[in-house]
Amino acid sequence: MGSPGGQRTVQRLVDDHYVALYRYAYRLTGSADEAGDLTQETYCKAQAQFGQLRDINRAKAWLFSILRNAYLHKVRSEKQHRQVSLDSVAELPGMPDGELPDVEPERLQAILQELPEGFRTPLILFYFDDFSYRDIAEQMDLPIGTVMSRLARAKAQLRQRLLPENGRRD
Amino acid sequence: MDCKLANTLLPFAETPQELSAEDRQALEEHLTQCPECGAKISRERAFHGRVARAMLDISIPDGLRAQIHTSLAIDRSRVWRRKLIQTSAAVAAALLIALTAWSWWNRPQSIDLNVIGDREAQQVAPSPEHVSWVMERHGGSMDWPPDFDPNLLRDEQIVDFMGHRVPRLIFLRGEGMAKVYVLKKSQFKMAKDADRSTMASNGCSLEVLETRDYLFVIVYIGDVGRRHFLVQSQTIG
Repeated sequence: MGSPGGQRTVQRLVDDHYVALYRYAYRLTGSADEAGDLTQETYCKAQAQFGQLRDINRAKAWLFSILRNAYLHKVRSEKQHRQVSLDSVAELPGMPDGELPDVEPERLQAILQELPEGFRTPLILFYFDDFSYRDIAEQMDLPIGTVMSRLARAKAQLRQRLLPENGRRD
Repeated sequence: MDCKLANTLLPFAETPQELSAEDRQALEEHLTQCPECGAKISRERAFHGRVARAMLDISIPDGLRAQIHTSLAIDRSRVWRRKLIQTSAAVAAALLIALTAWSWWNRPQSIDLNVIGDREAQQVAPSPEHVSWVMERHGGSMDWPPDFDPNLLRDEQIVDFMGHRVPRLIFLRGEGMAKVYVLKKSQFKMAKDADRSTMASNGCSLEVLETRDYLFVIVYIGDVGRRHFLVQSQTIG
């Protein structure tokens, strides 16, 4: 980090990825303030640990990993929000008929906050286009099969809460 | 591919890059050929697209980028300050240790006259061999003044002489003393027509003897000269 070259690279990582990192942090925390703090904390940690980044092409995944670890460290010391259990959610429920409504970002965030972090993270990363199932599995240190299973159930939960069923919405 | 298999692969319809090229092609072909599966995947994709748009629909706070750069700069200076403090503390500790060691090494030593007296009583006249050994240890390997009686040697020292450290031998016989400065010709020289003997203002006489590699500057103290210190069989007639 101390070298001018390392410093410039970190600055470039800020410019290239801070938007995606902030959005990820926002979806994890649900708060603009916490997302900003988490993003800044992530870059400070990245600067201190810059020597650990072996492949600059994996920088985005590396930054996301740092952010998630910082988030988990934070929430472990805080009271857990109410979270729903996905045990009763079946994978791949059928898509209901009828007009698909728009998805409001605030509504989406409220549903995300109800999900356990182990299901919320793969769902968020899934919708960040650059992340494959393998990338998500590496991020979370889980087998790909587990990631796919959690993703399917999280998407099913999302669908149940967002889409009209028999003309009603939750 | 049948509908059953296609339904199994439907989760990958949104991320076809996860499938092998063969499965991807087979799935796409089935979706275009099967109206039911095709309609299902259309709705899946439409829902996926709306969720994706909503997921990324987050306003980025003004000034966030600048804030991050400022935080990084502050963090860097904090790290440098911490390293500077640690280095300074290490240097200060090393200096303190060095100073303590130096102070201890250079502390005044107590003298005990009885101990010194015992030491002097045990002193024996140094032999020429001992003198050579001492001189060589001080880097002043030397020759012996011509014809001087080694039994008259009473002391050897390394002293400062005109900017160099040179051996000085002390010879004693009766009331007479000779101080002999042993000078290497590589360090000192005498002009060819210079006086080789003289008398100092305090009554001491001085003489210079010469061998191949050395000059011996001899200071005679007392009313004596060179013959007073020669080996008796070689006394100048």
